[in-house]
Amino acid sequence: MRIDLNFPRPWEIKDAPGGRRTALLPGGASADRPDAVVSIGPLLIRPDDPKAWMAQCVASELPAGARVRRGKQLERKTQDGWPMQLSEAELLGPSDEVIECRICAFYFFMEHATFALVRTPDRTRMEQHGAAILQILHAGRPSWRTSEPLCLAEAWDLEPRRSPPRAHLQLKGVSSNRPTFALNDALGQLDGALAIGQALWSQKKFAAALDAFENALALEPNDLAILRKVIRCHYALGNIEDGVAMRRHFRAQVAAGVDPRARLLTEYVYDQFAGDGFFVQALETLQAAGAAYVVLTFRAVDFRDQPLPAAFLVETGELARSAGTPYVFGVQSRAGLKILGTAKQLPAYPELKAKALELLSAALNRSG
Amino acid sequence: MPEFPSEWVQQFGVNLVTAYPPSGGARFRYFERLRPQPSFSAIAAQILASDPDFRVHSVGEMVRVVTVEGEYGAWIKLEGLREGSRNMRYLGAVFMGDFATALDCIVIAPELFAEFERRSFELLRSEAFHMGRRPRQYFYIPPADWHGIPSGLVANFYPPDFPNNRTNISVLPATPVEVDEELAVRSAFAAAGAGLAVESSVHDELISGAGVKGQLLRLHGRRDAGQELIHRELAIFTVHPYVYRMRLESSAAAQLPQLRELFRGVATSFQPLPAEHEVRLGRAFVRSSMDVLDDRAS
Repeated sequence: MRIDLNFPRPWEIKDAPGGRRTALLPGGASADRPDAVVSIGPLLIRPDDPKAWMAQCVASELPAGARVRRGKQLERKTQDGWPMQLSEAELLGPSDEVIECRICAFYFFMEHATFALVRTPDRTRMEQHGAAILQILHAGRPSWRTSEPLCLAEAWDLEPRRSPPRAHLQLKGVSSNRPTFALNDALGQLDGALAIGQALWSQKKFAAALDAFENALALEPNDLAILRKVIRCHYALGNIEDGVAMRRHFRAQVAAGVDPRARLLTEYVYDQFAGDGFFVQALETLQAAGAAYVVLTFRAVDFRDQPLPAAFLVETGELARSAGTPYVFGVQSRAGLKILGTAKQLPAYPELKAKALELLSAALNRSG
Repeated sequence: MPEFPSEWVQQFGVNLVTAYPPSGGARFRYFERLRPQPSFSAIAAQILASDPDFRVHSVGEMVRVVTVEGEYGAWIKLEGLREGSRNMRYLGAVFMGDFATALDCIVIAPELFAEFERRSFELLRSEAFHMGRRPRQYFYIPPADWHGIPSGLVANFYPPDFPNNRTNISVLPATPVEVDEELAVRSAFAAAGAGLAVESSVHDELISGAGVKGQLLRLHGRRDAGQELIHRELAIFTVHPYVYRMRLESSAAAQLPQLRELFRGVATSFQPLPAEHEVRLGRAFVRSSMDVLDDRAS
């Protein structure tokens, strides 16, 4: 639960203790302090004595020896119609000089209240930025969201956002005189397309499987499990450019949160190919943690997808980036991690794949 | 708590039981009280955060579970890698309103994947709370992008431009009615105009997406003479032994047609609490066992 205030760039927002947030408007290059600071309070239960609460907020974060000179009080409404009160004040130093200008906005959202305290080091900067800041404050609205689901639909929140059914979607490779049509019809378009795609994939008919999975994706564009099948088909067909483009799309969809299940993924398999007596799974990391982290993994697996003790890793990190060689290559085997070298950019995918096969074969041969 | 087989080794913590089957190869952990009730994604994220060595590679379809007592839950299958070997993880939760429970099962032996997948689902489904008939939240699709404010089991929704748009949708919990459902409906309709001098009212019929026939009362009135006109709607469905009520109140005359349409959408998205066949199949909103076979793997 909090107030939503939309501070555009170059404002910086920081969390502060006690459920507060601070928005900072950086000063010019030579400035030693921000042009404006807005302290945003937590959403509280509406105080029994609002006047005392407001006076306390206006006088908060007072420098030692300063005193408050209260200015105008204005009754306003936010753009949505919520009651908002504005209170002007100046902080005075020991010789009555103005050391800070303040505007405090008080919001009353049903039985809750909060404030946003705007501070500038002088009147000039308040005059310079005041109108824009008031516009931001005027658009303030409550966000009642808590971690607790409000209803059952919110508790069941690991389902992709389903698209409305589309009856007249043109599907690839589906015609009424083909047997697939009957299957499509029997299972329903989406499940039919997926079943057909899966069957064709098992038969290594990747081009036809791609058509089927693209049909499924057209019907359910937010289902990232289907998107992964499309990516794997592109790689299986050697459509590397399309595969890379779809992986980019996949990451964008993960970031957009269209399929909440994707938030749980650490990494995903985007390609699988055969080696000499083993298979290789190519994985892309989605949740990177730490100063140095793996971006791509080529892992040797057996025919049951059980990992074998060999993986070719492409890592990156702050240190590697600052050295101008962001990619670090290594092989993980029973003997541990062996760093092989660094590169300014990733080699082309066929080259990377060939290198992975060579290194994994060698590592597996060594481990017996 | 689920009934772990008696031969399993069980170790107890605070609102926590860890159980190991004698075959080895798997570990079950049951969280008895997660308060306040988190969402399923929050439960999954919390469990996975406690085991960073488990690297998730794929996440299956979420199953909307119904327990043997007719409580709602969720279950999902995750495939991943842990300490260099392929593992399966089955996560489940039961949503009790005030709290949730969670069951985390990790299986490291591939030959046991299928057995413990089934076992995990069945253990979740077997959870017993003995809380019986009581006011409960039920499924509906809330109005998109509206502000939602809880009030106990009641969910109140306000449009994004509230209070300029003085509109509110309230979804009350399903209430058990043991004696006369028709009387309960009549009483609810009689109370619908409370606080208003009613100027007009219309009864209508409503059919939910699940095919349940309901009733809709629309009325107009004013709090006091000369004050703004208030529009109220009350949608009621009765599916023995529960009565389901939703209310719309608005004084935003200009937007009324859209608001009424939106309310109708929320009301008709309602699904009654689990029926006997859903309890038997362990799945919510399925009509037959054919629907259960409809799960898609990721």
